Amino acid sequence: MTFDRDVFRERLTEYLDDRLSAEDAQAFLAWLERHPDLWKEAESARRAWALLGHYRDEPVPEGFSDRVLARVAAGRADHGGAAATRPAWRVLPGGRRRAVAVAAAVVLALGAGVLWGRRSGPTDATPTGPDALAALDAVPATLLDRLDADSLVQLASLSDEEFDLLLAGDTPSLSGEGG
Amino acid sequence: MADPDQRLMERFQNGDDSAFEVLVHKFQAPVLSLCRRYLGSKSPGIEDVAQEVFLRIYRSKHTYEPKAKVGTWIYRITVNTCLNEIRRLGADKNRRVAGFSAVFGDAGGEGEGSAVLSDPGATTPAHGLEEREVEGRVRAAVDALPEQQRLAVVLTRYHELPYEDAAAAMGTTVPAIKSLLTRAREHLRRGLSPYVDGDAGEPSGSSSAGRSDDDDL
Repeated sequence: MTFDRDVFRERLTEYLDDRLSAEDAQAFLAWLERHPDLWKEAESARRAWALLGHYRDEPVPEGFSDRVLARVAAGRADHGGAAATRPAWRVLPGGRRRAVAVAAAVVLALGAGVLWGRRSGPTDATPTGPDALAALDAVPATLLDRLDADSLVQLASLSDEEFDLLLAGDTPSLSGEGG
Repeated sequence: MADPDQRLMERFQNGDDSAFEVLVHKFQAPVLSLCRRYLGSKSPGIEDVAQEVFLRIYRSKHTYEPKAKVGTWIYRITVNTCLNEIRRLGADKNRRVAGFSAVFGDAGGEGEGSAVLSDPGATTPAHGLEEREVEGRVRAAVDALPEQQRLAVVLTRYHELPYEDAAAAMGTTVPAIKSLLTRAREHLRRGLSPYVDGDAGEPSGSSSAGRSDDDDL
């Protein structure tokens, strides 16, 4: 049996992973014993592979499965027609976080409108928004740059994943126009 | 259908949510473990990603076909969810750079390590190195592997998936898995050189190299 270097390395991988048959493993070892330079490489590889055992796993966080099942149940409620028996904010797509953001956005829009009303007049000041924004710390910064009246409707229609992407700042715009 | 996991999936697909609960309990540890090792041991939000995996399992239960192992299907979903997370955060490159620094530090990469093994037959580091330090180095070395190599190592070494199942979970081929593992091993050997580059001995010597049982080489 002969191995070129590439075949040797692949066979070594299989040997170290215990994926060779006993017969093939013995043949591989017998061949390796006749190649001291590769034996050294194999020994180093074995040591490196053995070190992987030091990377121990961590225990499952307490209550993890309960939290998973709770999220699934919440998802079922969101999509299961429970709106008639639950408060409206709890059945918004995306759950409570979405509801908070939508509510905050509504307040933002109303705040901007109030400002507009207060400032329009003889001086016709354009609503700048910062005063209203200052009161809305709860609104994620990524949303503040993007919200306008049309955005409210779009915000409510986003999927959960799209909404998460929006919060993460990975969505170019609410309107989906790439801006 | 002899596979108990497949029976569970069948019940789950037929609307028995208690079967899903059993699946969650059974696969929570491997899913969390895979997320942790694939995304990097220091990555935040591991649990959120693992929860997302199970949500996807729940939502996509009807995409499962009994010809596949349930575990492989779940691993595939886990891999895809992690991959989405990596892309979403755009953090993989930064994490790997950080991991590289953690592995190689100021000591350089190869050859002249100060903590070489004195006993060529040893399978674990000696010289009073703290186990925690070794574990940290190994974690950092695994974290520093290129994404696909890391995933291949995690699936085959830590989750003990057959090459065929690892290939299915990664959407690739068995030869590709072997190639990834071979390259990963070389990365790890370099990254962990202070612990592995002792005098490895000769086949005719009295060290471990003289043994020829299947558990040693």
